Amino acid sequence: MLRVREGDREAFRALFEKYARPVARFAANFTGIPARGEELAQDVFLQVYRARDRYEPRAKFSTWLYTIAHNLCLNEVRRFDYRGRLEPLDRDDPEEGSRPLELADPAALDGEAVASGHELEARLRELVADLPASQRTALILSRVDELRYQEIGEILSCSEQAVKSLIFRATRTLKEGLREYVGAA
Amino acid sequence: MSCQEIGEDLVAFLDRELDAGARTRVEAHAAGCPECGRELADLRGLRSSVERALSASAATLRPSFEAVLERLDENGRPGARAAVERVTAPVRLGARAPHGREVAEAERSGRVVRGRPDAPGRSRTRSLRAALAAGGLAAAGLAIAFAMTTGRSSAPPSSPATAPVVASAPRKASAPSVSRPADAVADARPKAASDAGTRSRDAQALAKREASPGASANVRVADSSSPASDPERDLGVPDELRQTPGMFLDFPIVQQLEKLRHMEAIYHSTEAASEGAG
Repeated sequence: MLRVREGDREAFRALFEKYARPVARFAANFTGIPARGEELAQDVFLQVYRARDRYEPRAKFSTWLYTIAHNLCLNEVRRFDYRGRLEPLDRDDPEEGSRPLELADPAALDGEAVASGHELEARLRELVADLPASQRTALILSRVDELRYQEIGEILSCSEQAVKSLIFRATRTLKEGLREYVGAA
Repeated sequence: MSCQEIGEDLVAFLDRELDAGARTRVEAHAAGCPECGRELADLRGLRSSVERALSASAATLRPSFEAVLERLDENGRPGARAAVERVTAPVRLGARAPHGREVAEAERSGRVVRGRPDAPGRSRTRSLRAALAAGGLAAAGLAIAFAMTTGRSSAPPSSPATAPVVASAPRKASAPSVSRPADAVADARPKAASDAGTRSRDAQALAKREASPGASANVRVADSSSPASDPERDLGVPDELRQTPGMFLDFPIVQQLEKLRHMEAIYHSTEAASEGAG
C-alpha cells in the first residue's frame, strides 16, 4: 500500500488481485446481488486509489479496505430500494430448482442437513441480506472473511463486545428464519 | 453459569473469541446441560451452513482491474473528492446515511455529505430555534406595546445609537435637566420622531433623568398627582421595564413603526390641506 500511495499502479494491481474478489464477495453478500458485487468492488478500489494519501501505515490495510467497502455498500443499499428485487446469488445455476431440499431431520438445524440443499443456501443468503446493516457486515466479515471481532469493531467503529452482540443477534435471526423455512417446507 | 447467561457466549465460543476462563465455563456448562449442548450443536451446524452459503458466490465473481483503471483516468470530475471523503470516513452504528438524492446533489456540487442531515437531534435543534424565534417575536411584541405605552405617557423615543447609553448611563446624584417634566417630554415626542438630533437630545435627557433618583421621584410625584392618566400602572408594567424603555427602541420593527407613523402624519396633514383648499 505504501507503494500505491506513491502512485505505483503495478502495486495497485497486486493489491487488487489479492483483495478484489473477497471485497466483491462481501459486497455481493451485503447487497444480495452478485452483479453489484463486482461493480462495487471496482468502486471500492477506485476509492482506495483516490484516497491513498489518507492511508496511515499504522492501520491494517484490510481494515481500511473493508471500512471503505462497508461504507460504499451502505450508500448503495440506501440509494436504491433493494427490497423486493433481491435475486438469488445462484440464479444462473442451471441446476437451480431441480435440486430437491434434502433434510434428514427438518425439525433439527443440524449443520449437515442444512448444507445439503442449494435452496436452503439461497434462503440463508436472503436472510443475511435482510439483516440490519451492522449485523450483516459483522456476520459476513466473521464467517466468510474470518476477521476477528476486534478488527470488525474497528471497521464498524464499535467495541468487541458490540460485535459479539451483533453476531449473536444475527445468528439468532438466521436460526429463527431457517426454522420458519423448514417448518413451511 | 446459567443457561440464560451463556446466551451470547455460545456463538463467541464457536468463533474462538472467548478468553480461557470463559471458554472453560461454557464447555463445562454445555457438557452438563443437554439443552445448551444441543443448542451448541445447532449453532455449529448453522455456522458451517452460513460459511458455505456466503462463500459460494465468490467463484463466479470477476471484478475488472481494467475497469478501475479506466475510471481512474476520468479524474477531475466534480464530486470525486466528496465521494472519497464520504466512503473513507468511519460510520457510526445506527447513523442514517444521506439519501440517494442528497448524495447525487452533493456529487454534482462537490459537497461532502456526511452524518445525519435529518436526524432527530437536528430536528429538535430546528424546533428549538423556531420556538426561540417565536418567543423572541412575542417578547418583541410585548416590548413594542410597552414602548408605545411608555412613549405616549412619559418617555421620548431614543435613537438606536443612544439607546445603549440610556441603558448603561452612570447614576449621578443630580442632573441639571431633571426638572423637565415627564409630560413635556411626551409632548416633544412627535417632533423628535422626524428629527434625529432632537431624538438624540431627548434620549440624553431621558438618560440623565433616569440616572437621577431625584428625577425619578419627580416623575413619580407628577404621576401620582394624576393616577387616572397612568397607562403603565394600568397595564401592570414592571418597574424594570418602566425604568429602561429606551432599550426596546432598538428593535427594527419599532423603527419601522416610527416611519409608518411619520408617513401617516404626512398623509393626514396633506389630506387636511387638500380639504382646506377644496
